[in-house]
Amino acid sequence: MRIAGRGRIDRRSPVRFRFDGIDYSGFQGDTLASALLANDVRLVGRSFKYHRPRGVLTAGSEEPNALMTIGSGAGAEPNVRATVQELFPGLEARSQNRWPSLNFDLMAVNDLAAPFLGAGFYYKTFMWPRAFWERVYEPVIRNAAGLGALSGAHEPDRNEKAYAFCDLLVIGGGPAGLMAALVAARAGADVIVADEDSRMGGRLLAETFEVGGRPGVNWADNVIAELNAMDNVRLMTRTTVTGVYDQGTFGALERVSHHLAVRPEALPLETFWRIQARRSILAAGALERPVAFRNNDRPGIMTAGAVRAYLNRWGVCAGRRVTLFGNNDDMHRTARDLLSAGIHVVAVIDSRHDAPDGRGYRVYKGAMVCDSSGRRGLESVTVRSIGGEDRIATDCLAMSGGWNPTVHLTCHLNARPTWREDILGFVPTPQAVPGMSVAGACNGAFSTHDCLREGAAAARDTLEDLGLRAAAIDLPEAEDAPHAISPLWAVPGSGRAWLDFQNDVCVKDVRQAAMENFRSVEHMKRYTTQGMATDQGKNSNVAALAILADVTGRGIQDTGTTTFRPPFSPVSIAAMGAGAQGKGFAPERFTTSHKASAERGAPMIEAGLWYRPSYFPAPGESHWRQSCDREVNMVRTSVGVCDVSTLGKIDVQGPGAAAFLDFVYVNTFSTLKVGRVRYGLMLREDGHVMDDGTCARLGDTHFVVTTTTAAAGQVMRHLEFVHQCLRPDLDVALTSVTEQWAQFSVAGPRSRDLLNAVLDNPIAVKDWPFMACGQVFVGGVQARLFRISFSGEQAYELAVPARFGDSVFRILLDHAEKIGGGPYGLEALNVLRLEKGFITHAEIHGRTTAFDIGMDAMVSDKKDCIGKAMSRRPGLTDPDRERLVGLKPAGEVQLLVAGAYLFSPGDDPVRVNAQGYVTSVAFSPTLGHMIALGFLRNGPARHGERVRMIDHLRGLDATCEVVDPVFLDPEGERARD
Amino acid sequence: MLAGSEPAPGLSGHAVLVDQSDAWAVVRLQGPQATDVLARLVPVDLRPRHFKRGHTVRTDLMRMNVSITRVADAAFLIMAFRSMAATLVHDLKTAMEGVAARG
Repeated sequence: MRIAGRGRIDRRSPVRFRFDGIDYSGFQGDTLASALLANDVRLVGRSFKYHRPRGVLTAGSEEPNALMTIGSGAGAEPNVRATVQELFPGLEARSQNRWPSLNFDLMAVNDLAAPFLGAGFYYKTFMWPRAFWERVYEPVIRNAAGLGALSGAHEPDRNEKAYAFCDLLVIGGGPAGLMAALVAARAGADVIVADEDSRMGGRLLAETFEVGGRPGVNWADNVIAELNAMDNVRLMTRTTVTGVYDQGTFGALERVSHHLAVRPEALPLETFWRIQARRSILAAGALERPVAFRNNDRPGIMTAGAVRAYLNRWGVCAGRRVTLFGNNDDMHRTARDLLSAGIHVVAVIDSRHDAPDGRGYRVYKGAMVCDSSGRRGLESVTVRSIGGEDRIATDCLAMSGGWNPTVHLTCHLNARPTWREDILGFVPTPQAVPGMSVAGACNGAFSTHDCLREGAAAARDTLEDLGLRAAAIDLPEAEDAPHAISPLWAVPGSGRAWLDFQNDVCVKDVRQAAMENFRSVEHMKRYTTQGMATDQGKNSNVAALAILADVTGRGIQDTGTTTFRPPFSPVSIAAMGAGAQGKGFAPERFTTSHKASAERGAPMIEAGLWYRPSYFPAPGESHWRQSCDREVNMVRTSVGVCDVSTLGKIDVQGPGAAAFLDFVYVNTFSTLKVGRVRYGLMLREDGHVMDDGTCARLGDTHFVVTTTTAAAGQVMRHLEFVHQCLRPDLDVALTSVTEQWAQFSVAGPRSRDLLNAVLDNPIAVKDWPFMACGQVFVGGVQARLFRISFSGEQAYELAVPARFGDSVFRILLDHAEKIGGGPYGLEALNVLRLEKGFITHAEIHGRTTAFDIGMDAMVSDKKDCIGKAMSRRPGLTDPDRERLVGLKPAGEVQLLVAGAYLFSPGDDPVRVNAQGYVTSVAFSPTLGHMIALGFLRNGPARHGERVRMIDHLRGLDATCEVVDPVFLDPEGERARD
Repeated sequence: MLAGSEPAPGLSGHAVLVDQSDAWAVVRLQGPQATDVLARLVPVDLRPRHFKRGHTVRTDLMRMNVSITRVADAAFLIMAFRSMAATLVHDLKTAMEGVAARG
């Protein structure tokens, strides 16, 4: 119910929202949880395992019960905490994990089966019969598991990633954090303050304390205003620091627009920050502990601090007859606040025998709540004291088992926290994170005065580290109450007493784990699943290990904690992967001829990051084979033009260039004449082929190496490694020039005619023999010409500076089309090279050697090179290895398929009988049938033999003849014309 | 990398000179929020008090290898591989829109 005169909501701005199909009203400034409580909606969800009715437990991001799906359609988001979701007009929320409805959930039958669903039950069930696992148990469990569900559609919202740098990162904007930020900022440090809440102020927003003689929230507002006005301060609200990483790196999730009804299109939903800070101060506060007693999980049972927060910050009372229970002074604080708002306080049940008297309310001293009733909403609690058991009618129980300092971030680099018996909580261990200080409640200092003092002190120490001077600061007056607490982890008695609300783990489960010898806290956690839900055990870790310690006869420090890992609270993968969806995954690379190719309707394929045209459909062509066959014929009878700019081009210059190339190639380049090109093979250090390509000598100390498109980066890295680490003695410079030059293949019997229509000075046959290279001019522009052939026809490659690429491509095509030529794409390129038995990375796939591909003779015996020694290992020179062959269909089945395996006729086609495999196939329009390259045991000695080509996946079985890999023009005369 | 002028005549006696004039796509990003825009893309500290006018760095912009130079108080010169020009403009534009949308 809503209380008049309380809270910092904007009562002038009512907000309509919908929950489970029913419309309600709240105010600007409400969270979904506070608005539901204001409307007396107590039932908000069903628990994971037992499907018990649940209500809001807390007022913060640690909420384990009120998990809802917000929105609908592709952007629907599951498992959103109602305590964190800010209310906006038109917000739609639905409860989860219930069918058919929240009020009537059939799965609540699990609650009846509770005796069979205790800790580790899945290790003892679903075993028999074995066949049932896949067909019955797994689908049923999968359906029952999980809380909310994803929409299944692509993420429609934009997200962002960003980087930030600062001198000091203050984590938490409560009294300790604000004080620290103020001291540091006034001294000139670059400060970032991050708080997960929508406004700074921390616990001051939930309390009625005074700071410096005025309400705590006013003091906070003043400090925030001063910080906001400073250039050297960045205040980041709605920003959770999620993780601590090495060397001052922090991850943080900013929830940029979850609170907006209408989001501008370009505004991201979330931004994931990586923050680099020279120093940090953790001022993350503390989280209140529930108390474990029988049936402590009913809607209406909340933490005492949350009840105060709903009253003071949101003007909401969670009940009309409130009872309080716990082991410290917090319940009394809540009782006083409730009374001052005119709410009926039934009683405070204080487990301490020396509890203080109540002023205006009844106190049961040395008493405990041992049971509750009211399935869909609390109706009564049972109090056990010296005098016996009393039943109290109440609709809201505010419980406090003490406070847990929020130490998590200090443990992300594998440190463990330290137990303090005086406050019954863990505190950070000093130096747990280099460069991080701790201040305030997260350091076990619970009074407002101590928070302010520690915040200022931490800032002063940090400033000293940074070499800055702190001005004197007066600490404002604030309450300084001691934290009097007495241990109360679980109320003795039978029945289920909840520890982990999210995963439905009770006290008896922890005891059972210990009994079955899962005595270490790591085992207990996994066996019971305590602490493994999305609240990451924030509400249950300490109580569970206290009970484990008790049961196993150890102290709490000895029992220890499990490992804390990032993220502190859940982070969507969409935020961490922002920008990488779809095409954003990698940069796109386009050639200079892309536009012209696209204009001609060429479909593109991806080669590495590059887009390259597959074929150029001519009018009337409807199938790619028509275009491909035509382009192959065109190249073999007239001339074709293909953009080959994407192949890596590496400029190698210097007095040591020739020796360097001799070292990385198997063959010799120091003997290559200026103005000539040679094909070369590069090996890896283990003797296998890494890449092949041509290398041109443009001058005595100037070479240009080419690489396969997809291997360009790898070869460049390899050459750099060789130069820097293996041969630093060689004076050579390596520069990637792939981008500098647009390069086009001009191939076919009429290639010289085409070139001579385009070059400033026509070339004569005798001046440009096969494998010549040199400088030419096109339209006055200095260009390079290489007479090399990948098609087996007379062919050249013309390279111009990239700015002229588009223009030269269009000019070449213009002239080509006049003589029956035109552009050709990668499909035709592949057929042409296959007809000639030229290899690509389909054949040099990383497990083949020079010997395997029939190029062993290329390995010079006059010099060493990388990989040579290893390539001589007996296993790599065994003639029975799978070696390069050509294949053509020899039976009824005319289809050949890459990836198929080869078997001798008569052999059972199973793995152990495999004789080889097929690497590349194509239909050859020149020969009129399919051709293939592959590897076959002792292949070169088996030309003329029949083999069976079998594709087990597609059920293809074809008889093939083993032939020479060069199907066309074996003497290579056409290229040498 | 030498940009903006021809190399001095005697330089080739001491160093290998490779023309890269066609290899880079160059853009200029300017405005009071230029640093905020690059914060979405570049993992390097570009705050004015640390990355001053005349400072240059080779770093990543999203997944591209780039050169970034602060050429004025609120302006950066950004160079990426010529073939990646479209991705460069796309990523910058997205970041600019995201920053502008925050108002």
